[in-house]
Amino acid sequence: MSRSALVKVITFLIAASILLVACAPAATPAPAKPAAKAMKVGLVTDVGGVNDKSFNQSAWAGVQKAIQDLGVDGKFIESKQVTDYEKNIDQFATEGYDMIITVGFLMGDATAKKAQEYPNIKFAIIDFGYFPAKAGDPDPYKTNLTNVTSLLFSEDQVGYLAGTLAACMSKSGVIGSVSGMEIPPVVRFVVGYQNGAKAVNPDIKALNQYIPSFTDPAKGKEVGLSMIDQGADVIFGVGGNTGNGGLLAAKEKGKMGIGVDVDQYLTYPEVKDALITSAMKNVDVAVFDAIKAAADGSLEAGIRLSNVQNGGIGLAPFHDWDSKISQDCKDKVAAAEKGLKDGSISTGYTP
Amino acid sequence: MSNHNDFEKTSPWGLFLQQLIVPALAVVTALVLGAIIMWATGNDPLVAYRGLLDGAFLKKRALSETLVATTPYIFLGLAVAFGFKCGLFNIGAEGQFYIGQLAAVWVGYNVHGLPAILHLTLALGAAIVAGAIWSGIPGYLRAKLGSHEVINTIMMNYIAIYLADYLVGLSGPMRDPASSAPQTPAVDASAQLPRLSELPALMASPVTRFTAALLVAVFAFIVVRWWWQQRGNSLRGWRNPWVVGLISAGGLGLITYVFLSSLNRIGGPFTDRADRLHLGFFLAILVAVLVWWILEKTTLGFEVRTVGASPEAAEYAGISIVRNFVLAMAISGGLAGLAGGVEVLGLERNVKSFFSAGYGFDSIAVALLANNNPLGIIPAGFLFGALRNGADLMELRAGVSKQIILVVQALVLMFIAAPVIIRKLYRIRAIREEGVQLTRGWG
Repeated sequence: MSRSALVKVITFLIAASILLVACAPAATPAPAKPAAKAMKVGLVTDVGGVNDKSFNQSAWAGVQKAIQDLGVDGKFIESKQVTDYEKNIDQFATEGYDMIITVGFLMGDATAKKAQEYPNIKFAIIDFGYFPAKAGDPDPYKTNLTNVTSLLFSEDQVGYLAGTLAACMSKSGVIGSVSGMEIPPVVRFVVGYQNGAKAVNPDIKALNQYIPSFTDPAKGKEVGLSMIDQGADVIFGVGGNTGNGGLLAAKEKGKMGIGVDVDQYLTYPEVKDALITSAMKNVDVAVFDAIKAAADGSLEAGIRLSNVQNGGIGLAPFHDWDSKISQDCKDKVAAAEKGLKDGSISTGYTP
Repeated sequence: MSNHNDFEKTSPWGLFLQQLIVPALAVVTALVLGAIIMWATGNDPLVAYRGLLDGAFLKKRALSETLVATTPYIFLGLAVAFGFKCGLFNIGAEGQFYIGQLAAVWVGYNVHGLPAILHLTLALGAAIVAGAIWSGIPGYLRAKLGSHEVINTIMMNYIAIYLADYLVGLSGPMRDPASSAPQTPAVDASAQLPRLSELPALMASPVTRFTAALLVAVFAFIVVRWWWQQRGNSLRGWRNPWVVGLISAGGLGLITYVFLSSLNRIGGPFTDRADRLHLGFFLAILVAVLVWWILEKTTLGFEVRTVGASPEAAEYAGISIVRNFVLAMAISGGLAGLAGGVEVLGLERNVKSFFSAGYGFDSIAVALLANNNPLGIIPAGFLFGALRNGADLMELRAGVSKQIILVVQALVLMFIAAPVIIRKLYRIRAIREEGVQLTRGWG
């Protein structure tokens, strides 16, 4: 390509990018009218950005709700790369923000470091708990992190609800879960799922396989298909993209699937025909509640758990399956939810 | 490529300033146009640019962070420019950057017990070699088989990115089993490229300070003596290159020693534990000068430039095209790999999953902005570093989407690519045509 051709290509690319930018919706919404001294809340997203259809987007939705309902002044910074975490937290800290929310376990170290540097700012981090990695390990942060709140979730409870529905819907008496790495949040989902199913049908066969990856849909699908061969007619995909492979297997074989984390009917429409529900973690609710608590001064350092009691987790709407799920099953789920709420039912998960 | 033949006729500084006019006006014009766009979309450009300025230079640690972002831009800009000089479009800097990071980290956490200077050199060397191999493959394919390097380097990008995902990912062989996050173990302390804030501790012992000063002195001696000889000074009296070299070496060595001894009193980035500016930035400047020297003053550089200007003429003159294609691509990739090594050993000290930064693609723009001049890449990289670093605060303060920075960057490039716009606008006469052939046809 000659120089002039290259210039043309570059000019075209530039023109295209300008158009693209011009057409893109404004990233930052007009801030709501702040009160006299509005609390300033900054959200540092992970590299996924605020439109990732998952955690980051959900977290920003929580901040937006706080802007609307509580009149706080909220902004976000999207991390372009993992090396930006500390810098982005710094941006908010040096601009006089009162509360900084960070999203995801990759930001654990950066958040701890900055929390120590800025003891007067409140920090909240999603999905990362500061505790010793192994029994006996000293926790490097535990003693002096007095300004960090970990927003964690009772995955076992929502897993229990999913299991209740799965066992009720299953005709074969065999259900499966295609799981990602055997780490606490995944284990909580799975244990809850199996115990919830057994509560409905004590004879049910609950298959499960942990796959040591969150990004292996091919393996997930393979495992899902083998479970279907063994008679499973409901597949719970618990492991990011790996779990999605399991859902895909369910869809292709005309079986039922249960999504995870967010309402996957909306985020993974390829399998929506098979999705009877999703086991959701309401990150937006957790974020909003944390901001609310910070605003009235009741936010405490340590772990803040989202569970059925406070609406931080729950099953997604049934969508297309709403008419196909019997009232009996819906009642069983509702009863399980009520039992978990008032404590009469335990998920059987012990850490 | 006519400028190099009569390079000696104009003073280098005059030429440098002349070459600077169009890029400088391009930047100013782009910023003005950016302001108009902001104003037209209902934002306050003054608040926005104040945020940009504060975020890039004035706020606490802002300048340090700008230099941190500048560092990979310089290395990668040099990488892309070196390819261009040989008529090759290395669009794979991003992938080579990844591979460089992985190689440096692997050496950093697998090799133990070496003294810091050796371990660090070894890790950076591994990054260079890995990057060179990664780009040498497309270079070789281009030279031997004529398959276009643009396509092959893009493909190598994908391989690098997914290889990194696998190696560092949750079940990958380079993953730190002790961590719940998908990341490699941290490198040994001896493989860390020091941050300025770590220097006072490292330089606590007078022996270390003396060794560092000695290294600076030897380096200064070699450079100054060479430079003095180039100016054609006589060998008599105190103007003798050896004498001048020794005096400069002694002076700089002494200054270095005193400087290293008073780091704690200087404070600033030397004592701020959270300041992330590392020695990589200074290494980048040195490497830029080195690349300029290779291209302008060595046979290798001459051959590379000749092949870039006209492969047919080069072949007729007995210059091997195959050798220069492979060599230019390998050096280009080596520079990109070094960028990765410096980035990871200076900043995070381990590789985390999803660590894409997009530096590799931006750096094509950096090279174009600098017209592939290795020294011009320093200010061009600085501009991109400043824009990248200041954009967040601009967005935060003014509510302007930081994408506007991309518009500004695009406008700058457009004006650089079509300098006639700027020349017409500001009525500057065209200086000598500095045509650099960017790349040749598709095979």
